[in-house]
Amino acid sequence: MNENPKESPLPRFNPDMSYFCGTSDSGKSYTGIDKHRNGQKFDAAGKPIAKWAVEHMAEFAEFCRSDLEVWQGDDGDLWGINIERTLGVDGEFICKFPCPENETDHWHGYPASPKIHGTKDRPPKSVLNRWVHDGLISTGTKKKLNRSKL
Amino acid sequence: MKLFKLFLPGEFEDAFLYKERLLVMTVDKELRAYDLEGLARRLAEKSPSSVPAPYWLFARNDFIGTNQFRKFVEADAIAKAVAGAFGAMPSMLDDITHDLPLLDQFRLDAFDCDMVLDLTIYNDRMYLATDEGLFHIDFDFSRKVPKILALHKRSDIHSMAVSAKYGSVSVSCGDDGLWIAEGDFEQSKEERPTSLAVKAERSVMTNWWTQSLVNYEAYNSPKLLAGERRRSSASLEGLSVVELGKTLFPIGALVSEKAGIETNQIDYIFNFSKKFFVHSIDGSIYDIEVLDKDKKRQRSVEPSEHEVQRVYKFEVPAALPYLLGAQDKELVRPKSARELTGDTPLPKDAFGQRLSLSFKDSIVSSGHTRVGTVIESRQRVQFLHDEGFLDLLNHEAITVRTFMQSKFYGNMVAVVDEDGLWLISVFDERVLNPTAAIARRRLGQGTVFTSTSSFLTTLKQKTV
Repeated sequence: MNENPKESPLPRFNPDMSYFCGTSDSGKSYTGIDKHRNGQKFDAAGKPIAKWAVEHMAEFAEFCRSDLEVWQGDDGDLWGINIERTLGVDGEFICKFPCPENETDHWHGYPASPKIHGTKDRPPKSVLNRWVHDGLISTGTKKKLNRSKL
Repeated sequence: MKLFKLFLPGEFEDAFLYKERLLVMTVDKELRAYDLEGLARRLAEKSPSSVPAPYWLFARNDFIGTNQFRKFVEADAIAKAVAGAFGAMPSMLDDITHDLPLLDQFRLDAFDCDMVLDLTIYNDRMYLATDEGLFHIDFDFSRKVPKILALHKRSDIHSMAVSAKYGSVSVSCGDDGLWIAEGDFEQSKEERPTSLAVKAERSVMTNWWTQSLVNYEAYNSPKLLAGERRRSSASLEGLSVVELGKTLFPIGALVSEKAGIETNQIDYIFNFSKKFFVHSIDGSIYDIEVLDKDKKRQRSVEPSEHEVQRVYKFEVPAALPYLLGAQDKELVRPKSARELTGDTPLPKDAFGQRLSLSFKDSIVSSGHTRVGTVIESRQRVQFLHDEGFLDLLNHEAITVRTFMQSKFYGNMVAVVDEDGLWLISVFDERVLNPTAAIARRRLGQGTVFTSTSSFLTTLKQKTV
């Protein structure tokens, strides 16, 4: 964690462009994961691997906004939403940033859809209610996410 | 096809029609019971010339879909009188608050959940799938004002869908599995309810396929759990309770293979009994019927004994949208047909061409009525019948329900949106003009007209 968030380094690629990293205002370090952009479409179990449809900076911006808004479940996972653009190649409009197991690990994230990827991609009740309260989603969309229809 | 829409303003989560009552769940978890016959009476009082249409549309919706009704209106004079009554009935009432008698309302304080995700009523028991688990409420419907007998919490698992038939209830809990209570009425309602047992690893919704259960592991992936009858003390629907096996048969693969659709090209599939509604990623819509190979066998349980009997792809003659465009604004014209309008002349072969009815949005839910299918996408709700689409709602719905299993409400749709509840009754007015009905049915289902004049002659006959 950075002690002084104001001096967070700017997000950047490493020299060979193989990964992207940045630090949020609260000091959380973030690294983009290549499998959520390139490579195989399906995992070994035949389940689709979520792929970002937005560029690296937009992915990082989603993380920073999620961190800033504290769209966070009890398990520590952060969740993001963008109502203006599609985040994933399969039409996902929400994203998930699983809480790292170790505090020193980097965060990462991927576009989320309970319909495509299952229950693990369903935002928790507290986050959904925040989004409804803030006018980001309707009650109908909340219900559809809760029923894994989106 | 004629739609009659009534609107009840309010903040609701869900609604259900059962035994002449409208049951509505509010966002504050208050359950309200309204009197549908009282509603029809009030509408009749306000518009006497519309009688008996309010009763046929909203109190007992079954009669207008029966063969008796078709026979009844065969006589021209009766058909004219009935058409007059339906014509006098307003096609939309935007606030029925004062027309809909409230029978009672129940505060469900013990009902600890954030949101009702699905509900159904079966054998006077309301099952509620919620984000905090499954609940059931037992009612006494024997009196005009229903009474709550008991409320039970059945599970703590986030439950996204529930269905009930043949004495069993099945609860879909996503990656937490499919949970079923077989013989849910074998104990008396005063006793502790039957326990739920897990039957499949994943489930987003279920529906019955005669005595077997179709479990949807995803919205495009149905699998069949074969069921067998067994003796029971609590016999429902004239049958013993069904006991489900453990083997999952990929019925979706059978349907897609026979219909010539790649499994990975299916966007959405749902069944009503043995009829599958299929929507492909390219927007095509199919109605696929699966029947026993041996038709004499009424209740075979082995999936291998079944085959696809009928595949119907929704399509219309290319000329139909063009020629109906000016007269029938409700018909949603496919894009390619829309291009025929304006200054562009009708192509010579338009009467030989057929256009697939296309629905490009991803489908969120579907439900059958006796005269068509209700399709919900994220931003609208539409009614698909054999001539095209009708708009039910042009914005997002919270809940869409049809009542094909009910005796009285087979042609009714309940749609809850952010502002209230739409109660929609669908009437196939073609029955009042059999000649035109035959012509239009032919237009929609395969007769190719060889000339513009024969087409227009037929078309004119449809206008009452």
